[in-house]
Amino acid sequence: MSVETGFYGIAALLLLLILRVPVALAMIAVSFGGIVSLLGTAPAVGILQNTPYDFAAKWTMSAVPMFLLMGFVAYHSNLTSGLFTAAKVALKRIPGALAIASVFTCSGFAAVCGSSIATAASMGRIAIPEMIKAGYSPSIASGAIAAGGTIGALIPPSIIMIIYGVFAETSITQVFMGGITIGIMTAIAYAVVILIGSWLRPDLIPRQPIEEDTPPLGEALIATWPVLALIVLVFGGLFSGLFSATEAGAVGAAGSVTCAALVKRLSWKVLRTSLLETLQTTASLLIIGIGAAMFTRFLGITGLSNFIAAQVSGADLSYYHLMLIVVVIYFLLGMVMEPFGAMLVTLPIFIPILNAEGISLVWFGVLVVKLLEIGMITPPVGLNVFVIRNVASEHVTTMQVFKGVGPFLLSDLVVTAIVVIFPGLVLFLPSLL
Amino acid sequence: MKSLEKAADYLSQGLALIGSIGLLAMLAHVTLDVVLRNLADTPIPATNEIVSRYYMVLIVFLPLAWVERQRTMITVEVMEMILTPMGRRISDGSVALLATVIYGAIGWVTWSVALKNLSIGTFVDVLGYKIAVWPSYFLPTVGFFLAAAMTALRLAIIIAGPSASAQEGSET
Repeated sequence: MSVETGFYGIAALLLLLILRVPVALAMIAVSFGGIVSLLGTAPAVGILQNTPYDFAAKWTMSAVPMFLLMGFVAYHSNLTSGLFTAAKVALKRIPGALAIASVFTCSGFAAVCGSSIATAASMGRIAIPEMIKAGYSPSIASGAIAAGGTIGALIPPSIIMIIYGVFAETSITQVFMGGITIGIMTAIAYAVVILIGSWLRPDLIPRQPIEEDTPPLGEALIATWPVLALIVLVFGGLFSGLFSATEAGAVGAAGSVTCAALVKRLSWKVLRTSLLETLQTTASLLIIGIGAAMFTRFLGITGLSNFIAAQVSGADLSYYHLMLIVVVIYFLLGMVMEPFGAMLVTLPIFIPILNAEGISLVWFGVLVVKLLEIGMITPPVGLNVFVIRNVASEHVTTMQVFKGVGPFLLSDLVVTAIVVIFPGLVLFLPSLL
Repeated sequence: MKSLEKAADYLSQGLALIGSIGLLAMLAHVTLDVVLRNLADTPIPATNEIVSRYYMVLIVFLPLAWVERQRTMITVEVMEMILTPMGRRISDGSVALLATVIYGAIGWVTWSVALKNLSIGTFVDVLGYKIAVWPSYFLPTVGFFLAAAMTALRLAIIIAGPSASAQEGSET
């Protein structure tokens, strides 16, 4: 009976989401209604009274606004401008150099920024016009950056990994370590796509080396010091135990502000915009977290999560069958939902199954973030694609960006398959901790 | 309606300002704690509790009204393309009504929690330091009530007519 209520709850949630009710409010409304119908009004009011405060007043959650602030300050003060030049100098002789340099610059930016949208926006502005000028097809140029942006949420710090870690009650630092591997794998896979593309279609991806005057490699590398300093500060301190993953956010944000001041790019406008964007992202994300916390309670009360977990165990699904189901579900959700909502709606159902099947939650976190990031570039709702369309509106249409993303999506499927077939790859770095 | 909207803009910008100060305070507090702990072996007492119970609660709940005013709540956009202007208006109005009811309800139920904590003077005890945390229980209530006011205003604008809602889109 109560399991049925759980199914009705999920159906009601999907209906509200389709009707454009904000994700957070839909989850709160369905959970409250469901708990009233199962346990009565008093317990439901009790949960509604306590969940918002209990969820927000969490020490580990404070990493979310602080890492966001670090990334926004780095982005608005253009701290990473030197990275692109350095990547271009290092890779100038390789076919498709400009596109590959852009992808690797996204990876470098990812190490100081936890969001894929900010990564895509920051690179899109600089790299797309440059690539088009050098003879790249606008579609491929914008597709490369839309896809490259997803690395922003894979390489730590990663906002979505922090929220996953809190919800799955697993080590954020370990998920971060797994993220390094999958981030690098993704960057290499994208570079391979560009190389193959330049070989097959030199009319779309020029093979000739970068011809512009570039500084010597040493000089270009020195210009990347703000990013290198931030990486050393945050990850050095984190992995040497000077501070925790939670504190690393604040130290990183302080570092970001200091570096921006040192390179004389910390204006009042930069600080104000960074603070407001941090605030807006934090509030709209954490209110979804509150909804998800209530939804988890509701599903727990219905027994639906355990029911599904028992069914999955009873059905004797092989590991590959189960993973295929997971991949397909996230792929479909990613087409229409933004990643935080999609993750928080599904985790209450998946985590009991994973626990029953003995699957590592650290590994699953890395896989889920990768799948959700694929959702950032799949139509019809691909947030990174929309961002790229906005920053490069004079060069491309939305359809062209989606088309350009195609080859990178294929390589994402290969990376996903490798992660599923060889889980040890992602778990190697976390196992060193 | 115009002056109400102006007031809503001032209010939401004021909340964003308070939130920004909260962010900077959290940054400075945690960084100072890390530096003092590692260099002078004297951490700032109760940093963990102050961050989670004051800064975090402030940052999450107070800006809600501002986020609603800017209409940046996260939604699923699958219906966007097929809605007619009238359909969109009905949809926007229904969502604003539902949001007002939900925010109002949470504001209402968390108010009694805040009063209870006030009456018992809730505090946390960290290594002998008593930190009063009861005031922080009022922040969610304030945040949710202000968000409800903001979505109620949006509903009123939508009901008032398409021309008024067009003006609403021009706010900063």
